[in-house]
Amino acid sequence: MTRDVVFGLWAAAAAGLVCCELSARWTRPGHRGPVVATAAELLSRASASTWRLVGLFVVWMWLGWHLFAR
Amino acid sequence: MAGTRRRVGVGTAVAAVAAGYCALASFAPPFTAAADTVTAVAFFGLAVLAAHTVVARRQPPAVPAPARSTFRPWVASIGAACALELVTYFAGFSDRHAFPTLSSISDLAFHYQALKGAAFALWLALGWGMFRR
Repeated sequence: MTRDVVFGLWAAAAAGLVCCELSARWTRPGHRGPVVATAAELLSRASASTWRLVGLFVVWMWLGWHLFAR
Repeated sequence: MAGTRRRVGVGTAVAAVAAGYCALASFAPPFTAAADTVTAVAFFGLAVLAAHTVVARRQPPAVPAPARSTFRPWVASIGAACALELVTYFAGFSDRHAFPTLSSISDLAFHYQALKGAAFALWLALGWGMFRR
């Protein structure tokens, strides 16, 4: 029972990310500007400085190592 | 015309190599030297790309950045996923089966090689999206 609820929460979290991207594409171009940024804009903003880029690289490496190597 | 054709050819070749590499990664079981190697090679490739990005930095963006408020839905969604990971991680100390974390779900999913290859491709695409400029 608990497992099903947790799986549902994970599905909702994944759907939230997908909805962000879809709503970013559906709400533009609008005369008042976009309501939600696209994932590409988010990544661009997140890697705007060298230190942020290094931090993102470390997080990206950790994710890959954790999921695929260990 | 010739330049466009060449660019399309290079792009197709890169996509084919990446697809082959993801297929290779899907065959590497975790906790083995093969898995360590395929992951480390991707680290190296993206490290070169990131270093190139840092050195070549950085033309000012041609398009103005979107307003800060447009990032809020993303921050909320990513924050919720991180919170769920933390809650399931700590709550699952006594019963991991009842509280699956992202990595325990991926362990289940990665029994299917196609899913593992697709996840590896997604991971590479995320790195490519972050570091290419």
